[in-house]
Amino acid sequence: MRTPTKIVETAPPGIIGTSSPRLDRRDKVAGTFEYGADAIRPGMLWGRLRRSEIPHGIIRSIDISHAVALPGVRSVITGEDTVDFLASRLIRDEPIIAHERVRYHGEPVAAVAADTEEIAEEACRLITVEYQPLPIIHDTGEALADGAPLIHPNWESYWAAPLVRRNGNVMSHASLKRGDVASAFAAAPHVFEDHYDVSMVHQVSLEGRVAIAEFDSDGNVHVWSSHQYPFGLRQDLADILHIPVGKIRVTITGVGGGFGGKLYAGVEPYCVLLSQRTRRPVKMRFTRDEEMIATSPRTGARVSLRTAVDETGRFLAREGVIHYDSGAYSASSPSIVSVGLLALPGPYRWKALSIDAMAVYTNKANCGSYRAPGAPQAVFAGESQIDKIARSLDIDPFDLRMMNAVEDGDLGPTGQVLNSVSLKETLKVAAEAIGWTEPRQHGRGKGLACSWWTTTGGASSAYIRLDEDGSFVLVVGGTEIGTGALTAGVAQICAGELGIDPEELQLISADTEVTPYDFGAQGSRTTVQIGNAVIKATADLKSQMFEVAAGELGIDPDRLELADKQIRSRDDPTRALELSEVARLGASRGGLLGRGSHLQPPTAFDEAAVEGAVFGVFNTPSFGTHACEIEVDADTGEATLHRYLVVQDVGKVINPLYAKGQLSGGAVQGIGQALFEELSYRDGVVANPNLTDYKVPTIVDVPEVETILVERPSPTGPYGAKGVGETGIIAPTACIANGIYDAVGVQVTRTPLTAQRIWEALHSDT
Amino acid sequence: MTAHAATSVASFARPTTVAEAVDLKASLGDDAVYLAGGTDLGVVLRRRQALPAHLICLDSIGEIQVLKEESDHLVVGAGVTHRRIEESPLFATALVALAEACRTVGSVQIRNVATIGGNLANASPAADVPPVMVALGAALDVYGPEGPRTIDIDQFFRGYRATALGPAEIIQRLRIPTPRSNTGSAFLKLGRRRAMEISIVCVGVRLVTDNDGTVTDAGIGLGSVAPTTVRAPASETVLLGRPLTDQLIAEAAEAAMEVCTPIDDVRASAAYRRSMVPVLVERGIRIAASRSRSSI
Amino acid sequence: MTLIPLELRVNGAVHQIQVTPGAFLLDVLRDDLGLQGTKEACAEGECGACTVLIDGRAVTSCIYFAAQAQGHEITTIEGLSDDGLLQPLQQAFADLGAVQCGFCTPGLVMAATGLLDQSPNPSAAEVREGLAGNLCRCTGYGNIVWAVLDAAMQRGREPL
Repeated sequence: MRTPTKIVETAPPGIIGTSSPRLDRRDKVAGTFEYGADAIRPGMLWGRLRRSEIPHGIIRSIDISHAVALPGVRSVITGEDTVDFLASRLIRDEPIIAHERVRYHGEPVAAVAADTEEIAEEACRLITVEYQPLPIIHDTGEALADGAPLIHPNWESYWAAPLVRRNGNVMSHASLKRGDVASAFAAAPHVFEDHYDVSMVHQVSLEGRVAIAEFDSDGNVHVWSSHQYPFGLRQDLADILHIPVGKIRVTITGVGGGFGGKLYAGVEPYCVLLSQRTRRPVKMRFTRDEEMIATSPRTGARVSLRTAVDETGRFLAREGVIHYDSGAYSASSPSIVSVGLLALPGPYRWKALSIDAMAVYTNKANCGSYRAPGAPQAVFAGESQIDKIARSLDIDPFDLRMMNAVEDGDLGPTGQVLNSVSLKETLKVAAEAIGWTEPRQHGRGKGLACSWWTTTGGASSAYIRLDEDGSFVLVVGGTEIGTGALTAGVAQICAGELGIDPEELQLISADTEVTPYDFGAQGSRTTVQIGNAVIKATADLKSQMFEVAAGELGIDPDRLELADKQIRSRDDPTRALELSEVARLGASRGGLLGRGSHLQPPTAFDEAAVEGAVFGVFNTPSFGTHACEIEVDADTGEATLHRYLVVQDVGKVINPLYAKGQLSGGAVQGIGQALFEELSYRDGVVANPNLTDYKVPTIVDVPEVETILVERPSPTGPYGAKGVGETGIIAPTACIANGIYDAVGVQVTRTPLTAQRIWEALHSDT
Repeated sequence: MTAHAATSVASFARPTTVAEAVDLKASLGDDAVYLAGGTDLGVVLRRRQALPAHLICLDSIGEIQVLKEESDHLVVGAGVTHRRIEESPLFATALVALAEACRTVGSVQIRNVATIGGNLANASPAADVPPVMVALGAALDVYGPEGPRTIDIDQFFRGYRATALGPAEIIQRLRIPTPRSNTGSAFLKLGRRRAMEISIVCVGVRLVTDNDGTVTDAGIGLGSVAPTTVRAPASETVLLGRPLTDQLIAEAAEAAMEVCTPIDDVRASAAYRRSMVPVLVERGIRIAASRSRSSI
Repeated sequence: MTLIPLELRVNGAVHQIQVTPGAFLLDVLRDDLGLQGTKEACAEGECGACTVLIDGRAVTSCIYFAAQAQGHEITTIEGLSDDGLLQPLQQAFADLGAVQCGFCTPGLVMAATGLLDQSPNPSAAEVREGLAGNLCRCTGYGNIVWAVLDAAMQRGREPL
């Protein structure tokens, strides 16, 4: 096999950088696209979960007899049946059905399979549970107080990944210590100390979690799920249910939104168990209220920071503590704390850093991943404080950021060497576009906020097959969750490398039985990492096609090219073979199949400075600046967002329409977090578990998000691309808070920045 | 949350006259509920907050669809949708506050189906339309097993989600006094979002002014500040017979506090609501006054 | 539970079915008639994903009883494209980046169809006001507004 050319030197095909239409658009607008919600298997039963009515307590007894007796009920299982079935990946602390103890309101205490969903629901109502209530740990303050009851009294006996540092109610503790923080503070002319509180918010994918599981007579189970990471799900099911991974097949259905919330096992373990017991396919979905109370919201957080600054405004040192309110079980929180270490210092130069990020157990739904997990909380604090520092020292917030922003060759917070740094460029572009230096209209202010983010690594593979008719089939383990990363970006890269129209490409994805491994649609990685794999795979296929054609044409393979759907001589284009002919020739040797896989090598950092972190760097980092113009009605506190602007370095844009779509969508979710959204817990119960009271931004709540793409190529992405998907959601809370600060001179330090909170900040002059 | 169907429901009736509907309800009793547009009831049944055995759907009753001007009243059938009010020329000028209030109820999808009668009968203290009906001095013609009677809007809301309607009574129509010339009205609402919002505070104001700016009639209704929609008679009294000045408006706005007993809830705190009432009432008075001067 | 007979006119076709009296239109469309293009996302009329047209007007079918729909013309997303040909609105959504995960798309297309049928030449602000009952979590809405405005233009050009 010939060695493919080094990725970053591959000149991009002409289609790269164009808004090539996504391959799944027609079915979606016609209403014929099949989501998990629409999937049906013949003979299937419906599953439902009976959930805990209290936030914390011992289960004294559970009576399922009336449920079992209800006509149409086929199986009822409780925590007694699932004692050894524990999630999650980094700490095995979560029984999939509560056993002996419930730790959040809505925790499953039983699962039912029945002929119809109504019967399953009725059966759940007939299950009676007796609890002995335990004191509720409402927030991180209570969880960390001296003598606080342990939510997991047996925490020490849990299996946990060695890197995770835990202690009692502290689920995971990551820390970063670099430089001499104490001296820096002692010598600093200015020290600022502030506290910020960020609400817990929910992804609100419009399609909730849903899956079907079906066993065959050999004990193999096929799971169809609306999920982001088929290989992860497969391994999760194997680990949780003690089924050999080889007996599990996961096929991803159409996905109606994920945003990180569908990265872990949700409904699937119950579908598998119930299917196993009933020997029928079982479908389960979570209704909207279940989604709001029991599926992996974003952690709330309390962030405390002290920042030392010199006379000129140069940042010296930052000491920060983040308490991530992570709910009853671990899920992805042990990895989220790593993000805090990187996001709280931000993309700035520091002489010394001391950051502690802790995920803390509380009696709430276990939090999980939601677009840039861990970052918006930290950045709200860091970027809000920068504006406070700016105004205290009478320095323009733009100037203060420019003064301290990182550049190429600088070290990141954990000591990684930063390259293709574009922060200052994004700052300048954003400031210009928002008219930063123009005088403000009455009642209006402008805000700026910067952030940096990762392009997650993890392995991706691709097969590219030449079919008998000369068409191409791309087979990847990645998942299209709506971003267009596969059906636009990756398809475009593949089509470009092959010189065809993407519409001519057949795309097969996300099936553990037929597609090669992929680390999942997470961490803004899909277009970049699968794109890299695809480039290798197409190069491999080309070399196979050249070899076959060389024999037939009698030309040296080095003198052949793939163009206009032919393999032909570079020197004499008339000497050519149609691809279907090449395929026919290749059939005798088993067919032509190109293969490529990519795993980004780790980025070096100062490992001695970091403890308890599952990862220590932002790989292939990207940089962005957001800006806004906001008006505040001082009498009511109501804020009207007039303009919102995102400037993002994408390395090399593959598809501008969908790259901008990611920025626009992420920004609006961020605006939602900034102004409208919070999961309100009252006494351990979600008070707004529906879309009436949980305020997702509507089309009239947000302006058109303006997006400007900056390209500072990375050395590691396809044609220099960097990940985009998550970035838009990180800065809005800070950007809007800073705009309000500019408008009315008060800083609101708790999200969402509701009219009431703004008004209270304006009238708290007592 | 229930899947697929309100499973308690065993029958769905669609009477074609008010009398038929009332007879049916009277005979079925508490196990039956009236269904107008279903936008409130549908949610209640989805959440299993009620388990009626019978639904009596009112959408086939022609007589409650009327929307017209009579000699001294505008007549709005209880079955008229919010969307029809928004689109009606009858509510485009002097009584525009009603259209404004309707326009903030839910979404277009909701308003295409949700009825004015249903909104009033539901009697949510946070509802947007009732404060305007209070400000407009509406009267409700209702019909029950004992026959027809009229209830003044001021007597209609009795307690939290409780109305003066008897067990089987339904609202047939609302009668709004034809506005005099120099009438202006306004509706204002404070919410966390700009759409799909249950109000934090809302206000309906109607003012009639004469040529030198003296207020000759006033109606002020408030929502989300008490267990029911309330009227602010003290505010109205402050304004009546006096020329509008900044001082007077501020006084009237403060006087509205008298009827307010707001609570803390998931949307806002009582303290914030209390502070917002005078702000919204003042703004409502100003807008209504300005409109009264420019009305035909 | 005694089922009741219903005659529903959906996308121009008449269906005689038996349903539970309290069945919601959304579920009858999806489960009894196999028309799965209309989606459930909130089940309380808050998000618009279940929008269909009743006599040409947008309605959230998740809180609308199937029995209420008897006697009316129901149009679902499946009823828009004739012989697989997309309407200008659908084409505009597809081409202008108004579709990402697509779960909100059928409801949005139906709501926008109702809007343009009533108001063929809306401003951007009117488009936004008209679609305030449809949540999208992916796109940030900007491209959706453009798609509707583009479709309005395309529809204006079509021969009557």
